[in-house]
Amino acid sequence: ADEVVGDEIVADEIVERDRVILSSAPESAGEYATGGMDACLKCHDETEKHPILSILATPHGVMADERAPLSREHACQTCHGASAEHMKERDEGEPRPPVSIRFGPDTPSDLQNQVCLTCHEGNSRMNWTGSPHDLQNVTCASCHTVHSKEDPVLVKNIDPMVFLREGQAQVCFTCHQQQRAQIQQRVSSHPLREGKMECSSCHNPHGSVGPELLVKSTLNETCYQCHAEKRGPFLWEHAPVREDCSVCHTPHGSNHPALLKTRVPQLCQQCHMAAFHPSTAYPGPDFAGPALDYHSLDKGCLNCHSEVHGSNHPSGVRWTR
Amino acid sequence: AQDEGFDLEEEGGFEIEDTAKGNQQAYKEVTNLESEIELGFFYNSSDDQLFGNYNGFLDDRFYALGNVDIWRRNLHDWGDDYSVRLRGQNLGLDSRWAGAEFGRQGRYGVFFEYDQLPVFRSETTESFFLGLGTPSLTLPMPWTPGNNGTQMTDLDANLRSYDVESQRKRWSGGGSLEFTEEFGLDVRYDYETKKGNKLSAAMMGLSGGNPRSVVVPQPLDYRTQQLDAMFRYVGDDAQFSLGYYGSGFDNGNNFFEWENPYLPQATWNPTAGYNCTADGSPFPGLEPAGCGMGRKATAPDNWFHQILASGGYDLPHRSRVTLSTAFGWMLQDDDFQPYSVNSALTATTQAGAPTDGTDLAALPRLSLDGEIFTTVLDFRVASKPIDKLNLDLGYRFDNRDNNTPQDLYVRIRADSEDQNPADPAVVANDQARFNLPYSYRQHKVDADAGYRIWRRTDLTLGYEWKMTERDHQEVEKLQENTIGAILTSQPTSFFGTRMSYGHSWRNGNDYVGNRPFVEGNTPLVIAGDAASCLGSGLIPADECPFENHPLLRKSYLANRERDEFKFSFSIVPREDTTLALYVNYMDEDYEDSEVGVTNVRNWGPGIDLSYTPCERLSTHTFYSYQDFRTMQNGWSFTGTGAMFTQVTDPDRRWSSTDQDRTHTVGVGFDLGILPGRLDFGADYLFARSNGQIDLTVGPALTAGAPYPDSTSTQHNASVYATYQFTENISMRIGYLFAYFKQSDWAVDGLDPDSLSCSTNACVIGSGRDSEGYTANVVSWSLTYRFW
Repeated sequence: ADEVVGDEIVADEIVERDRVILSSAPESAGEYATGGMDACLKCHDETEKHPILSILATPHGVMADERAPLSREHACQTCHGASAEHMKERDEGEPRPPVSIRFGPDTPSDLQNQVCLTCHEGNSRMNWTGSPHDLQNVTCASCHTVHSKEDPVLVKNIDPMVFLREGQAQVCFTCHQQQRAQIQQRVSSHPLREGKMECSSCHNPHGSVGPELLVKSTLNETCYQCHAEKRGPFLWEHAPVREDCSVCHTPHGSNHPALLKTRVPQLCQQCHMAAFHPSTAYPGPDFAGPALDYHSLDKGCLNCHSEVHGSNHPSGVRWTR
Repeated sequence: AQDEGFDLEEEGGFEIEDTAKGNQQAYKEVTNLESEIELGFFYNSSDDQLFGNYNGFLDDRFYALGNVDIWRRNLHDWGDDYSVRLRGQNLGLDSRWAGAEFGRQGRYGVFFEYDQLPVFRSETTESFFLGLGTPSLTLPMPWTPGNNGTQMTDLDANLRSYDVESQRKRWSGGGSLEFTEEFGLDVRYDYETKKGNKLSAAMMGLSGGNPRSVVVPQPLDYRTQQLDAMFRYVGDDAQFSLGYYGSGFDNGNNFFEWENPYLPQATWNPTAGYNCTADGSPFPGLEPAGCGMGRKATAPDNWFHQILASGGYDLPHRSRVTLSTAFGWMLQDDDFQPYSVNSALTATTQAGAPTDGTDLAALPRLSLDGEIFTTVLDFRVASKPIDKLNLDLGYRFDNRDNNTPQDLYVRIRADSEDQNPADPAVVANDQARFNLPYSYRQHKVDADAGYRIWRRTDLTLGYEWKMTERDHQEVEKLQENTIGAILTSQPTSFFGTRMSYGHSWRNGNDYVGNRPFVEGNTPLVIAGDAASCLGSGLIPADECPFENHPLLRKSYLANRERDEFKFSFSIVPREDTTLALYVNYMDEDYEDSEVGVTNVRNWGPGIDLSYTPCERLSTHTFYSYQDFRTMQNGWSFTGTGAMFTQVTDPDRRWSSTDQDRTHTVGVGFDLGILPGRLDFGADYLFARSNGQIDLTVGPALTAGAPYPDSTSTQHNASVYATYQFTENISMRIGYLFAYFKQSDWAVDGLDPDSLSCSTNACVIGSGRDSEGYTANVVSWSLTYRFW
């Protein structure tokens, strides 16, 4: 079970004590217990509510890697902090203080995350500090399960018989419920439901230079990873396309084809209101009458203007060629 | 040091109890990597190919079920850091993935991956063209041309359905090398092909401003390479990385062309139409006889190179500074297509023709020589100077400097058009345009301050300023200020809530609606249009001349006020129950836009509930609703003599409201009937979307038929059972029912020749219907698991 906390120890007091321990030298804050990992395994094993032995099958448990926490002198306490006090024998009924660093709601997020960032602050996590998730007190342990053989947030959902039952997206959808619903759209969506993409295909939850935690430095650069044909530059650029794909597209799923925000021709008419057909009010299809208008039906404007992402034809200024 | 620490035995620590380590076999299974091989089959009953989109179940047949994960590494404490992993997922489906990894943890690693993605769009699309799947479509013979599909009497007999589909295949490889504990290198290379087709348009020509077009399949033959290399340093207080990212796109089809199925039109060059000689005999030199050709350029090859450098440094007082930069270079220099593919018309319009002004139709250059320099700079300082205070300040600069040369190109709207370059009317009639290389710069400053106001309750206040500068567009400087507040609270372990509110104002320095029109046209055209515009006496001088209605405010450039509110609440009333509620609301108001988008609203609530009454049973359910609405105004006007009176006639206004509402419900459970031996689970997902368009028109316009709703409905139910025969062998059976139906007014009930055509204009459509599926899939597999 989780650490036993006596009723007299209220959360804020624990928080304050944790802060002192982490921000101070081990010698002054508390003592490390000897005995390495075995000392902890005497009580904690796979029967815990959060089984712990599986961590030995993960990179954190590889003893031959001197960077791995369990290969270090203090073993479990490398991450959980100096916890000799936790291990001392207690009289019956005497509350047992928890380990110094607990990865759960009782410990401030920055204290928890600082433990992980000690080793993992580089690479794609360099921009964690000050990122939206950091500012919202999201902890590494909110998404990662390091004691598990395979961290669920790093697992792809590969079973075509079930939808988003496991894998990374399920972890993200714990908080991002609206995106969970949008991904289910069948008219148009990215292949997350089928496990061919992950949230991390486009987003870096650890902080990024790009907007909306995107993996590349701009939104369009993120899209070009898979849609390089739209990069150009083209002779005849379409201004919003050059600037921001999301002017027309909504990436998480749409009730319209091609992840469009709204229907064509209305979508195009948000920016194109020229003489003749661009400004015409197009009615719905009328099978009883003459108005099966090609401006709104089938591909709408794209029945002729098929090259809306840009044209490299010398006469392609209207994106028809 | 250990010898200075607390000694467990001396202090009388715990007795050694039975632990997992006491059972060596169990200990080994728990702490060793697990491998498994799963083999079996799927049977799909559905021949609705749309069901196979992304997953590969394209036909009603058996599919092999194969998943492999062989992961070998000695026990964690064997002093061995070698590991090898071979994986294969969905190997019997077109959505297969395979990967191999080998390495020594903390020293080096290499990997290889293969990934396949089937994309299926339609199986009901029809075309009369021959050569589908190639970049050159030909007409069947005999062929009777017409002004529209009805007159093309050979059309119906030659219609054949084809699948709109494509497939991506990606090969990836790379590795990492740790030079020291701090220095390392990561490299990844991807090569991807995308082959198949997409729906596109083949436009032959126009009559006045009206088209003659056919919706056709355009072949895809894309190859993309990407290289990502990053050298990194990760120290205790400082980290940096220096990297290169490169992307190269190669299109196997440089053009796409088709034969003209239409009758020649009076305004077309005689050589461009069907049977295009004056006496109706085949035009010499064109094969098949007499068919004019149309051609368009496809997506050009392009390259992108980017250098990235990032660094972070931990400052005293729990502060950190990061700086990231990225310098990129986009290149595109594919050869231009000629203005016209019809050999009889290209003599004076090919590249190399005089460019001294005597031949305005000559291509000004052989290729674009397009290049865009991109710069992104991000600087951030974050600090937690005291326990309860959290500060963050950032600056971001995003620059896209488009250095593509600007030239004057003749706009020959399609291959049917008379391209007499010596005709000054070509230029005078707005048939020549300057290309507009759009550049873009954005500065953004943001600041956030968070303070713990109560027990595990934080209030964060934020401010963001954003300035965007654009070239050749209606607004040169657009500024947006955003203020926001977020309150998060989790005072107890069984209750948490989050509320956020943000308000932003976006204002441009000035909206000059005709700037791109003026900068893209020749002075001669602008002068002529301005004179007629001013001469009308109806349009203010600063709005003359114009292309779009002077009152239009393009949605992404318009002044806007935006409110966004989010609220979520979670409670754990009992140890076995978690309930979460949320609602999101966003409203954008474009109050200065008389024409264009006037309001966007997106809102929706949701609920999540999980209930785990016992260790054997866990259940979950959710409901979500989303309502996305866009309101916009239009103003219908002609380009002929009545243009200026119509532009100012309020009775010619119209408005449209597009609204999409989606309900999504999910429910499922997992049941351990015989825990560890027989497990059972089920899921059900329902989603229904309804799209509505309400159009109202002014008294001067004719109200047409209302738009039907566009709807989509899906049900997905799946059940599975897993039985563990032995420690190593288990069996899994599964069943999936998937149903999807949509109605789409844009395509339903339309044949290729259904679209309204006049003597002046016509589009021959795709003939497709909105598609759906009803699929039943069963699966059976045996899994062998070993350690």
